[in-house]
Amino acid sequence: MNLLIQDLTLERALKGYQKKEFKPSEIVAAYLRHIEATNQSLNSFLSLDPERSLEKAKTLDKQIDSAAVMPLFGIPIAVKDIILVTGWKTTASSKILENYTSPYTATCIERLEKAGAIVLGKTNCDEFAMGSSNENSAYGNVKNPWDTARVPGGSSGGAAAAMASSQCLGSIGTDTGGSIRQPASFCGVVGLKPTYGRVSRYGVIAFASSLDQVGPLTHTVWDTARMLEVMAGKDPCDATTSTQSVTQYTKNLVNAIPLKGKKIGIVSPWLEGCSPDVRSSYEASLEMLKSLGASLIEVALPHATYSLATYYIIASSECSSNLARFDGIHYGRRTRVAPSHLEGLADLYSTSRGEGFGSEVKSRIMLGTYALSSGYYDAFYKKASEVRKIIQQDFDLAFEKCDAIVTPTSPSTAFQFGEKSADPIQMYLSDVYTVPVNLAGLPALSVPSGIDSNGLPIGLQWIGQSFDEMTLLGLASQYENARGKFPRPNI
Amino acid sequence: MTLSKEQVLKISHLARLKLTDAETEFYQARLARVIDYVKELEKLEATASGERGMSDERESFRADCVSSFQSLEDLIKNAPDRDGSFFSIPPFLATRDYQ
Repeated sequence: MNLLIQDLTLERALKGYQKKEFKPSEIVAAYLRHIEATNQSLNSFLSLDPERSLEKAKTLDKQIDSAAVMPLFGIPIAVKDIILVTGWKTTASSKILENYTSPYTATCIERLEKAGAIVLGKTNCDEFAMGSSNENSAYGNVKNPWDTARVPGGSSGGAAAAMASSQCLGSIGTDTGGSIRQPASFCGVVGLKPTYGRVSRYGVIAFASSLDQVGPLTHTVWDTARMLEVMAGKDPCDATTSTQSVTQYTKNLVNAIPLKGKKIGIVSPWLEGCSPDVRSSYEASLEMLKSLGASLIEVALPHATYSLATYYIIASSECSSNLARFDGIHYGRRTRVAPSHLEGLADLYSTSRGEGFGSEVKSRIMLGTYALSSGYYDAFYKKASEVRKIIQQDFDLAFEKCDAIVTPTSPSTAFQFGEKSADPIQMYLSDVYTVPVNLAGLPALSVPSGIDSNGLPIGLQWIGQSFDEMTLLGLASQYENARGKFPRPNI
Repeated sequence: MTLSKEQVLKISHLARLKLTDAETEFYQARLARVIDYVKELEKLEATASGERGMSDERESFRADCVSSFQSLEDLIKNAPDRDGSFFSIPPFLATRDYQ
């Protein structure tokens, strides 16, 4: 493997371009070679277009003198295949969109490209972002680069695996219930779910519109800060984006908010479900935070225990509505069953959708349909919406006592393929620490904290207040510096 | 709880999802398992008051004027069947709801 790639971070690459140590076409070519050598075993990318990526890189070669003014000059990125990029296929890892070509580019990607980033390819994920292991893709499992017999996490499994295996310098995922943070934790990279409304969802195939957020996965907190400051901000094409100004996160990381004197909230009851290795890594991290001058304070999130149930009702209900558009009429797969064998238009829809959607997607659509149906709406959806508000209030009260809440990202490290497939609740439980954050719309970051006894990465989750990504990034950056360089898997 | 075959067929009809017999049986157990889990919310007396949306933005309106998409062709070319700039569908002249 090319040693340069193994050591490179986004920040280091930008400095290298500014010093003219290398050119974009050289870097992109090196990453494309590495992807070619590794993608068959990892299955992280679903589509690549080396010619297009190199052409963009060569255009940037001629602009190398502008490297300093383009915040992501020449940075090769990977994009989860649920986000539209003009001219690229976007499948949402589903058969129902197997031949869909994006007619426009998502705002988040447009901003990254304008800043100089170069899309290398679209990454594999759980179908329509529904899953926690990337075992629900219609295009095969993604393998964890740390142990290819194990899952990378999900639903942004391809994005996390691409990052961990040094196939790119930044990747973009989406997080509805933990789908950036949990795979980041399983793959030993940094992953951020911004505050709801911080980053535009225009051009992102919707799963659950009140929960979905776009975010970066990178090698370091600085790299994440750079990608966020480029993507974030009001978008007239997404009415839920916030007018709150976007902080220059990387600039302020230099004069980081000191950990010393800060109050870090901990939720001790949550540790009961953790594996021993995750628990001891977490406790070691807390000791490190204390040694850096932070104080630990117990906070209560008494209704968080209802988060998964609340989430699965709300997310499934929203997805049953969002996925109604896939009916085989304007785009996507239409059944090839002859019209004479169909009982009308509704049967055309039902047959096309029955053929095109995978098992987990159908399960969630039906759960959502049930929860919204007459006779059940009050007991399920309305109730879940009320419980959601109570969970939000729990976080409000907790943040009166602390500056950030720190928890393990997931109760375990990467599990083996098939290990949690028999019982859906066991799979859902891997998001038990991440899901409450989506319900509350808060920002949260997963940072690698250690390695378990099987050699697998463990993640530490930092939860912050609305639109206060600066505090999260600042505190986590200091933790990261104290922790030292995190290893990468040997590919 | 258990779900009957008829309940699953009703839900799948509402969701416009045609299931095989094997799938229907699979989802009877699958959905029952998840519904049993999420029903735990019944234990909680939720008393959250007031409006609490996910976004505080209230003035997200733009001018009500027509703008054109950059490429009609890029939109239409994803159609499973087309006739020029029209989406084409089979002629279902007498639609019956299947029960």
